[in-house]
Amino acid sequence: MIENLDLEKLEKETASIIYQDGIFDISLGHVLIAFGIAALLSNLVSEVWDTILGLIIYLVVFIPIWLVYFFVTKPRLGIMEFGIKRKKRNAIVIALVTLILVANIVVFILMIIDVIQFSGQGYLLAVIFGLIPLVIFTSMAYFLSFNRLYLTGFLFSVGFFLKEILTLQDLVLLSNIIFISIGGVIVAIGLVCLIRFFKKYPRIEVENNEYKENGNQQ
Amino acid sequence: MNTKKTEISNNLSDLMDIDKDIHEPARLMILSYLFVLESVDFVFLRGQTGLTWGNLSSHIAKLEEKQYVEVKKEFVRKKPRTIVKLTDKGKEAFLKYREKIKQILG
Repeated sequence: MIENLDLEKLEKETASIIYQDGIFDISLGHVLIAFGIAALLSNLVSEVWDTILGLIIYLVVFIPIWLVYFFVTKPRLGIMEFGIKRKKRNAIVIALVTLILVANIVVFILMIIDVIQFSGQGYLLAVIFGLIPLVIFTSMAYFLSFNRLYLTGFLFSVGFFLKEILTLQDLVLLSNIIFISIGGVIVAIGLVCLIRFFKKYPRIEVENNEYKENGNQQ
Repeated sequence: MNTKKTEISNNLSDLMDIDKDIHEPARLMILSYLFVLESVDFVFLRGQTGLTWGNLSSHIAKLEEKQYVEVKKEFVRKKPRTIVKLTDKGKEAFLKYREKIKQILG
């Protein structure tokens, strides 16, 4: 009934509607897969090139995924513009993620030029690597009202933590396999969402006369 | 006892003042989405409400007639797109309706 209609809850639900298609999950999971594969192939290429290889593998899949988003899922969902409150929350997410990423880059540079040293503190580094995606994804999930992102954040966190820990134990192959597998789980979640999305929003033809001006319906 | 009875009768007679243009379930659903979002297109509303094009069109026409919504038609890459937005009058009417129903049903 209307007296129980929680408009705040409805606003939160509509905010996460755009992530229903699972495209975001698929592209996130693919980050782990691409860089995991690149790390596996690092014996074949130099250290810098394995990162570039990771980027290439990522883009090869990322571009078709986003083409699916622009030409298939977005037209099926339709257009919506958020209210002022939601726009503010989205702006907070962008600012927060940018801040965390810039802070990470600064720390990374300071590590390279030996201003900050983590030598002999590999386990601490593993914990930090695990916490970074957790902080980023949980804050994103909170501000975007996108609950599935808490799980993605947890999986990313576990992936980064295990990769560091296992690399420290010289189990590089296993660390990369786990990294790729976790990426695979995230992609699988995204694919399930995508299939459900296709079932919920079948292909539609928008008629030219879907609505005529001045209240003259078709 | 008598006072309580009068109160109930008053509440029930308040039902007559309810905005019947909003009270229709499909229109109520449409207005709820429009209330929480800035603007939406027909495709989005159709997907969320499950109404047919014809039904959706007639409900929007009714709401437009009452000046509760503003409808703008545009073409994007030669495809039609109908954008619907809640007007200030519509927002006010929706809130008033919600308050009234709350009062009556407790």
